[in-house]
Amino acid sequence: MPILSPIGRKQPKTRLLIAAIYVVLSLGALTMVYPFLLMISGSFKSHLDRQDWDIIPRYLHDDTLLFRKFVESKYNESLAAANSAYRTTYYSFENVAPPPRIHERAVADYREFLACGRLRDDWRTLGFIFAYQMAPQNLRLLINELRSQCAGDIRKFNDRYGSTYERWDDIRLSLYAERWIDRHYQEIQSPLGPFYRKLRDARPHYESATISLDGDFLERRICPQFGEFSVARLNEAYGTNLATFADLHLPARVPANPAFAKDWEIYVRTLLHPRFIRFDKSARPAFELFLRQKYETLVAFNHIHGTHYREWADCPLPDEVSTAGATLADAMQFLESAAPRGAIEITGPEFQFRAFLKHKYGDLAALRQAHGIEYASFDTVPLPEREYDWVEMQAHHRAVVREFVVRNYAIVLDYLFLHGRALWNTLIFCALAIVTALLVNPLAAYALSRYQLPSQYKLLFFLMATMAFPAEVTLIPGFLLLKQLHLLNTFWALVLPAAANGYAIFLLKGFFDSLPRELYESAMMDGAGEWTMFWQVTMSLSKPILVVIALGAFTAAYGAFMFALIVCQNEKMWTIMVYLYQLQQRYAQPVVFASLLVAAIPTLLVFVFCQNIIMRGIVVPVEK
Amino acid sequence: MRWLCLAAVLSAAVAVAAEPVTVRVFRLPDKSLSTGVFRGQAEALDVFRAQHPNIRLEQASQLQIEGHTMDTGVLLAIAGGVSPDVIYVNFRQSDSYIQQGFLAPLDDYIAKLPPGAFEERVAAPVRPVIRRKGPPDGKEHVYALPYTMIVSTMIYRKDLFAGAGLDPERPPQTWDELLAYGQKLTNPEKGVYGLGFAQGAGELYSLFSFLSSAGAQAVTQQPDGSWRATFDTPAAVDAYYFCWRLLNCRWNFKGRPMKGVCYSGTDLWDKWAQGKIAMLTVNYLSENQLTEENPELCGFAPPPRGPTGLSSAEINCLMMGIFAGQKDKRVRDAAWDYLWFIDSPAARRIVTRYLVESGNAQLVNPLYLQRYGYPDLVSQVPKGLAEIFDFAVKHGTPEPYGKNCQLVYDYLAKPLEEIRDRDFTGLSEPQIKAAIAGILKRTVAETNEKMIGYLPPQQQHRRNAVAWAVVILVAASFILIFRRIRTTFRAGVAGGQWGFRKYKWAYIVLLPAALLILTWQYYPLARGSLIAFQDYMIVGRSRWVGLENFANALFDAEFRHSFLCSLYFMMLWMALGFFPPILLAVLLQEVPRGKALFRTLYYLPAVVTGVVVLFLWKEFYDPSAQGLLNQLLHFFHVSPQNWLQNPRLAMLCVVVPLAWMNLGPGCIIYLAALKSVPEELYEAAEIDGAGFRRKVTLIALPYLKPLLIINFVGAFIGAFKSVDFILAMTGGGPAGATNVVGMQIFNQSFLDLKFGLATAMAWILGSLLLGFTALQLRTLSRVEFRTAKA
Repeated sequence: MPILSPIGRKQPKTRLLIAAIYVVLSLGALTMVYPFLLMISGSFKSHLDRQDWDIIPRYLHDDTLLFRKFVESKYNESLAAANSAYRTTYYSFENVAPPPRIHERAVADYREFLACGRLRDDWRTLGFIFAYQMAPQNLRLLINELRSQCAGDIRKFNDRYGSTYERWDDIRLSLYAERWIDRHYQEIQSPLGPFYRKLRDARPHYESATISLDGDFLERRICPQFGEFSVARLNEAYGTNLATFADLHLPARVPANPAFAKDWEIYVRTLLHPRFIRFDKSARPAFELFLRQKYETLVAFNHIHGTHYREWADCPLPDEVSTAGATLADAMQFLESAAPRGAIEITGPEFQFRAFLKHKYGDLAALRQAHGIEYASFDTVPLPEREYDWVEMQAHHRAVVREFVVRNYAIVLDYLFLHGRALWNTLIFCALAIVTALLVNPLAAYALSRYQLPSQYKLLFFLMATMAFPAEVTLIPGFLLLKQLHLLNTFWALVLPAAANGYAIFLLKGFFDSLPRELYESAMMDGAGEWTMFWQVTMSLSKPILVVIALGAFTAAYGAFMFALIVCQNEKMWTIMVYLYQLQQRYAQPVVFASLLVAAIPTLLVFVFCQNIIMRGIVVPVEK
Repeated sequence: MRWLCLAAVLSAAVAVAAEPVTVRVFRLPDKSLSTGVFRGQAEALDVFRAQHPNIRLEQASQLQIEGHTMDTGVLLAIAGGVSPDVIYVNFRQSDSYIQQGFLAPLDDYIAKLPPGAFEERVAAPVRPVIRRKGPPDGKEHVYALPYTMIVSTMIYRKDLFAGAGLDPERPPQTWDELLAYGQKLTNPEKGVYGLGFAQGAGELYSLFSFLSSAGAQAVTQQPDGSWRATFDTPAAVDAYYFCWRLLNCRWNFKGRPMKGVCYSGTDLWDKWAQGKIAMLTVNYLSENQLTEENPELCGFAPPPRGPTGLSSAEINCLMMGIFAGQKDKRVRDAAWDYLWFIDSPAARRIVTRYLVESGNAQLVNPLYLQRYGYPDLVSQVPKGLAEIFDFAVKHGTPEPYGKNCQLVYDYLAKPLEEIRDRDFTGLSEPQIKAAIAGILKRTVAETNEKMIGYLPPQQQHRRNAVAWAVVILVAASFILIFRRIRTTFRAGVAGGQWGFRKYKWAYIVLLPAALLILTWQYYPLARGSLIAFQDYMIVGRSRWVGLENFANALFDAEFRHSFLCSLYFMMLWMALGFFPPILLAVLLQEVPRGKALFRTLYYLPAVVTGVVVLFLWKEFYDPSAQGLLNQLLHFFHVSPQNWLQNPRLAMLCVVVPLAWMNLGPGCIIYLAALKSVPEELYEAAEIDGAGFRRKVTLIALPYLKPLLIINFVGAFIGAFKSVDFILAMTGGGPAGATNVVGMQIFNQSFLDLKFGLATAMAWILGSLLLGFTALQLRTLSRVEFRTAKA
């Protein structure tokens, strides 16, 4: 019943008051809802846009942002990788710009090149596999594949492969994006390696980033030396007249320009990964000399390499990629210290692409005309990666958006439903909590109220007196007691300590006292037993309050995590909340938001549908 | 390799009959990780598995609790009975782990080692750290084994040096140069910071290198073996003063005023990886693989020399020990086998071979290259790197490993937090230093008392005397008040005989609840009260200390300060958390339409689980310009705030989300109560010509009075007990600004392991609140509860 009487409501003054109340309430509601909406929106985001704080994620309607996110994911959050692919010097993904123009024929040629098999599989890096504290699509695919290997049993997997993962989710922590460009990079080893490579080869080309040596040269040799923003200093040193860094191209052989040659040599000798490097026959004498100096005798060489060469001349020149072991060590050392620079040749995607174009168009004029770009020569044709990425993103627009929308929720649901018994445990715990809440306290309250014991105040005092003591005092001994009774990691530990509550008994007794006494008397006359009276009179008359108690027990059990975690440290006993709590520590904010929203669904549904019952069951103190 | 396989086959044949033993290890190397040394260790582990087919190694990582380091996880695991058999130890924790009896002595195993093996494995500076007096008999034992030595050096980005026009081959040599370089390298336009300064909870490593380069020691051992904090020497003052300058010096970047040259956010390491930080004074080189940073891109150098020309930084070891609670001898033996093997010469050889064969020879410790068959590769190691490593070992300062030193960084951090935002303008250098010296002296005294537990004896006697008086007073008031409450409960009832026979059924029905309360409330209460008089140990045997805990609690300035914090929290909570729901209920009551919708909207925050709401707000409070609230401020042209890091705002920042979350659920109860106000009362008032305001104050509020009182007292007591939210939001910081009583108790028990002291504090808190609890019970006994009308 409103305080303003319905009669007066028509008056302008009252109307104004009500309008003002609506305004205040709406403003208040806005402060309630707005953060919630931010959270929902945030749950669809990634590191790049997580601080945009908009209600509808902007990438849904803004292709530039979508492109940035696409780049962020494709290059596995490595700005260096993106910069080197694009030959740019962005200092944040937020600055990445779409290509100014699309040269459709160039992109089409590039796509054809990628599909034609000239590009070695390990000249590209699988994207969508690593994101800090997140689980992008290819990572999820990989984990699913591993899981299917042994019916989802991580122990089986460990036994088979000698690995030590505790959960599937741990695999995420040991997977980083490949960095094929780094000199000492080793391919991912078993057990994950083979699966990883299988996945890389199976995914569409646009999900992998092709390595650009031109870009890497800029990224790791030129920019550190000349500073990111001063092409002028480069021009001065080289005596060139370049407009941007991107116009500098890495030749396959050492260039004639002495300053350029020096950088080329440093880059190739000390920074580039050996699989992009070849030696031609002219390196032979130097190599033999190098081996002689290093091993002194052929016996030593054979001992270390496990070979049986008779002469130094038999030792093969490291040409095809030396994968591991002493051969690789030799190759690296030779490259770094002894190889004549004229004998070093590099190869890589750019060179292959140029060869492909040469083969296709024959002469430069035809290529220029087809692409609509004034290339200086075949040797300066860049990989059109940025344009390619943009075009492919547009072509797979729906799939890309879908991945960003689904990503965070996929991992949350995965975590909940595929991790052991979370759902089941939560269900049991909630059910037990509700049953005890409806039995223990109401029974005690009934006994006190029904019989009006002469000792009832002593009893109530006994039941409630501990309220006066701080909870911290009982915290540790309570835990120790659970331990001594061997109740840790059982449902009892979750339910028993809080099952009886003096305050609740007191409230219920007060409420039962207010029920009409005559009912009991008439029931007794009908020959009803105590149980019937308890159940059919007291309990059935108290339905609303009992519903509130049950709901309270449910929300408390559903939401408990700290206590549940401490008394049930064994993962087999974890409830949904405990899992989510652990998840929140391992994942980034957007995933956390997604997990919070998933977790909030049951409580929200309960509130929305039981709102009226809750309102009816709330007990209010009234003076006697 | 071949002989290893042979050995494996042979030992496999021997061990065939043995039953498998499972050893749970805190962490095992991951096979698929492609970074050098881990992968090498994984290969070594394969050999171990082959040699010991009956040992099954299992990884058992710890639980994670928000805002706490690994330490809490170990304690929880030990308390919860799920501790790994092989546990991780580092220098600063070592003393606590040993004295608490977590670590089993390893002497029997070490005695069986071939002569010289132990000395080869454990470097001389590390031996005093692991060989200590302790349980079970108070004699000297070895408790842990190191498996990797790490030292700290300075690291810098050559590219950023080049970009700023500095010589990439010449890092700063002295402190003054460091500051000058920091200014030259800072470039806000590119988001580049001159220096990374790691600080905040558990991350005080940056300060440590300055302290040791100044020649100061955090703690020193006395001739009698006890420890004292000593970071108040003039050398330490120099170090703090210089850190203050790094963080606070005023200078200009292209006319823009700048403050300090450091970045110290929590994402420091990400920023470093992104190349946004030019220098770090702390970067660890490890024994087997010197560095993982790219030596082409990064330069290494000893830390810049302090005022006396000293250059020193931290030495540390990763160590492991065997959990003393594991009584099964077979598991212990197997755990030892693992412990010994993982950094034995055999394993080192495998790791080295792996690193070399994978082309990483230039990262390997030259000593290992020499020793394990690759002398020709020594020249591969970047020039100077090995020298820097050796220099660091030679001149390094071991991480403090004295009593309770797991807390030493917290205490070292305190003065820095205190001076960080202090405005010293207008003061001369000696004046500033004098101010710093004063702060350090105070902190050192506090550290001695609380971390090390050293107090001059006569002071202890005086405290005990006061404690006696207080405890007697508390006990007396407890008894008195309980009598009051009992009489209240009993008011108007004569007799009160039990009548067990007559009311047999009633008592039987009451039994479950009574038993549960007896077991889960009275028993822990009684037992918990005893802890307050003990120096309580989780694993070992506790010692009776009489009233010492109470005495120390009463004289603990921090504990007293925490009461003020609690009071402040309570006031804010009353203003923002208690009254708004009442107002909201009154307003909601008035709207003719849309009540259910509003109710749902206001209830929304409550459906998200409690602590979780705080994580959400924590994001909003992001102190960078991108944080939601700072963006909002920007809209109103207010400069960005530090929110949770600002001591003056922190408490408010904790309370606001709580109030926000409580608004909906709180208002529903008042709404229910308002509905039950009899309509006739309003009508009568209406006839008397009462307006809205008078109807609220004269009818609604008096009707709500019992509810208001009960809730008020409840909120008051609750505010003093609350800790979860503060734990999740600030952990008590910044600079103790939100260190409420509950937080203090939590810290004492779960971080410092002083359960006795914590329980004593809890009792003191309880007795102070006793009056209010009594009031609460009394009010309760005078009302009756009814469900509200729908």
